[in-house]
Formats: sequence, C-alpha cells, structure tokens
Amino acid sequence: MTELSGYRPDQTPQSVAGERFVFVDPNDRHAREFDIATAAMNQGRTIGADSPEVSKAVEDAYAAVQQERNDAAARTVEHNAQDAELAQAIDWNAQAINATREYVETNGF
Amino acid sequence: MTLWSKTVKLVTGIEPSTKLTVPRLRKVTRRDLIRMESKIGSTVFGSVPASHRREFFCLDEHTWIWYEEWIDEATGQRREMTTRYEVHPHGVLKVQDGQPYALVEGEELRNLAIATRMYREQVMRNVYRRDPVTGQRLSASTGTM
Repeated sequence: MTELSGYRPDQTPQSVAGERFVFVDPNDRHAREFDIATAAMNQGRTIGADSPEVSKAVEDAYAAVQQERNDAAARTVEHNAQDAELAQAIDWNAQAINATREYVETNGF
Repeated sequence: MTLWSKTVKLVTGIEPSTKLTVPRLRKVTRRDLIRMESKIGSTVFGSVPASHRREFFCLDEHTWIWYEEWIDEATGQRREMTTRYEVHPHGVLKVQDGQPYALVEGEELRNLAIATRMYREQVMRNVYRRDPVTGQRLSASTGTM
C-alpha cells in the first residue's frame, strides 16, 4: 500500500522547474489524492493511495474537471472572431518560442 | 618546474597541477531555458511590487504560466497564486488554484496577447539571440534591444 505521507508538491507533472514553479493543477492526480488523504486523516483514518476509496474519488474528480474543461473549451467556439484572432496570436508566440527552445535544447545556442 | 610552480609550492606547500582544467559546458536543459525566459517574462507586465516575486513563462506550445508570490502585510504570511492560460483554437481558458475554468476575454485577453508578444520578442533576442520574426541567428551587432 502506498502511503500518501510522502507526497511532495514538486512531483506534479506540471512542476517543470521543480523548486520554483509548483503548480496546483485541478487535473493533477497527486493533488486529488492528497486532498482525499487529508480528509481521511481529519477523520482519524489512514488510507493508501491505491485504496478503492481513493481511486473512485480521484476518478470522479477527474471526470468532473474534464467535463468542466470541455464545457469551457466548447464555449470558446461560440466566441467572437476578434478574440479568436488574439488567441491565435498568443498561440503563435508560444509555438515560436517552443520551436526555438527545442532547437537550442538539442543543438545548443 | 617553472618559476610559477615553485612560487605556488613555496606559498601553499602544494605542487600545482600543470594541466589546465577546461570547464565542461553542461548541456542546457528545458528547465534552464524556462528559468532564463522567465526572468524576462517577469518584467513584461510592468514593475513587480516590493515583496512580490513574479514568474511568467511559456510552458509548452499551448500553455502560459503566471506565478506570483508575495507577503501578506496583514498576516505576514507568504501567499502565492498560479494562473495557467490554456490556448484553444477559438479562445483562451484561464485556470487558477482551486478555481473553475474561465474564458479570458476583453482587456485581459488583449493584455495577455501583448505580453506574449513582448515575451517572444525579448526572449528571442535576449535569450536565444535570434530574430523574433525570422528566427535567424542575430549577428553580434544586432543582438541587443
């Protein structure tokens, strides 16, 4: 049984830069498990990460967050053209940076 | 033994190495690059208030992160807030710690677009030494803004 006491926020998939950039992501399974374990401990119980109780609660939380995300994304489709244009500009900036970053990571400056 | 070696041995009692040690350049990682980018990113929204620390960086092809950390004057406690901007084909979604997804629109969206453009221009020039439009390597004389 995996105890949750060893939970470290910097182990989340989104914590790219480790010690500095620690994100709490609603999609993050560790964060959900931690919430559930904390709630259980507050009730005087200790549960493992692989217990059915945790699995079900995590899956439920996941599904709810995913649904919320899908609903929010669907709302963007109905949005105005000017905002879509701005979104594309923001995306283009990210893609340009990423392409350069990947090149430098592989080939150096 | 050279005069230099003799002098060093006389002063320190240790025979100096005659070999030059060339520092090995560590391969730069994605994390290193993001740290470098974020130093620039932290400035694109204007000056950072005293006792605040800010990070703003591009996480991946469709995600931007704004992290702000400060000391709450009332309680003296450290506070922090992370905002993740997810770019979708028709709009941008914002998610903050414990908050539901929200659509970014109006002035906030315009400001974000300006900030990401400034980020790209400054990071391309000052971190990667490349032209922000063409992506071509800048020559030494055009490398600064």
